Amino acid sequence: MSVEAIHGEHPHSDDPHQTFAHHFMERKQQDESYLVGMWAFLVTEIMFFGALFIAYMVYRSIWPGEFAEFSRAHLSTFLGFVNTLILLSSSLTMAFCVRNAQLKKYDRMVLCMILTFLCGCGFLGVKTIEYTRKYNDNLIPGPLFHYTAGEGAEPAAEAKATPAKPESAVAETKAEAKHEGRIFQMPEYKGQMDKKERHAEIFFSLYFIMTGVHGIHVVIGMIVMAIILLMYWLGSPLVKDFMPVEMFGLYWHFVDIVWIFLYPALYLINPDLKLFHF
Amino acid sequence: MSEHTEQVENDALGEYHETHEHHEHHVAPAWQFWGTYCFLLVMLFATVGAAFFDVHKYIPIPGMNIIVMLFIAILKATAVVLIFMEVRKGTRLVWLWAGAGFFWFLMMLGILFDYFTRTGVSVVKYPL
Repeated sequence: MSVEAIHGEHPHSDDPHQTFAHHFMERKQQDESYLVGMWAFLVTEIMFFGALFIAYMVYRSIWPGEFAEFSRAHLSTFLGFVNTLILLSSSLTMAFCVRNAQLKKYDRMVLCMILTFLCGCGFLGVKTIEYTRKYNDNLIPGPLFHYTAGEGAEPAAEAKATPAKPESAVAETKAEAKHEGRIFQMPEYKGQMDKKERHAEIFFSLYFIMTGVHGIHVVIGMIVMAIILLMYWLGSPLVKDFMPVEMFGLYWHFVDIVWIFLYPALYLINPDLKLFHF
Repeated sequence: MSEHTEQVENDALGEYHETHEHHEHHVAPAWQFWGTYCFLLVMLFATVGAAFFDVHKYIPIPGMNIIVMLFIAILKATAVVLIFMEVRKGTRLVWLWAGAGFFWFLMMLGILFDYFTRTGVSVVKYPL
């Protein structure tokens, strides 16, 4: 569909900042509708990430000390800091990108968007380093998960060579579970894990789902940025309107906000935390 | 302020000219973004500092460190929402939608803390 088909009969149709669709009374109303639509989407995102944060709070409240230990042993405060710095900077470049789009300074807009894109690349690069370390330390939740305390973890070969618990011990664990009235039995391979290792698996499950879903949002943001840039270079007049860029900016800033909460929640756990220890 | 005066001011500011001329979409001055960025950086260092500094020693409230860090995170998020996301100059409808999401999250937290503060009620039915 061409721009003319959308904005055809209105005055100033040569100026993308002034055109509006036929079902709007004025440009201002159209802008507000765009923004409200985007915010409605962001509300669903808050619900989505909010549920993950609540799940995290529940488990952290049960094992505050252990979560602190897992975080200290395997999450790098420095890498988290670098990623926070990168995302905050990308928010700045995104804010300037929107500003330049509003001011019709398209060259600067493109420059700011490229910088934001590069920040996204940097963020994912650091995340790749982190995930690779977790993989090498056997901290990916699942059958191969193996937690070792202290700085770093044993190599994979040693981890696999860890002797399994004897059958009697497994039976004992099951009996203990029955006695405690648990309604949930772990799969058989979990029988070899001690309680701490199970707690570690839950911590890293939460870590991977929260940072992973956040990472997917960063990737989606980068794809949208690439599309906007491509449309700009192809000369599409749709991108000359500042609203698509402004709405994308809202999304990118939201992704930044999620990380602002993820960083202290996952990477900066104080060992003396007793807030939820009832 | 008369229309004439407004036009002169807009010309003096250069880049404001175009936006004010056609419709009421305001463009935030650049210093606001730089100021917000500096604020966010300072707050980032404050968060990291709070993690390595035992606040609990000086303010004897359990879990004081996480309270401080969450407070800083809320400040940072508020700065991003108000300045970078431009909600500050948004219409009432935008404020309503922006507030709705956070209000929902507060409700969830309220329900969670209700569970936490009731004795004998476990949030997780099967302690692993």
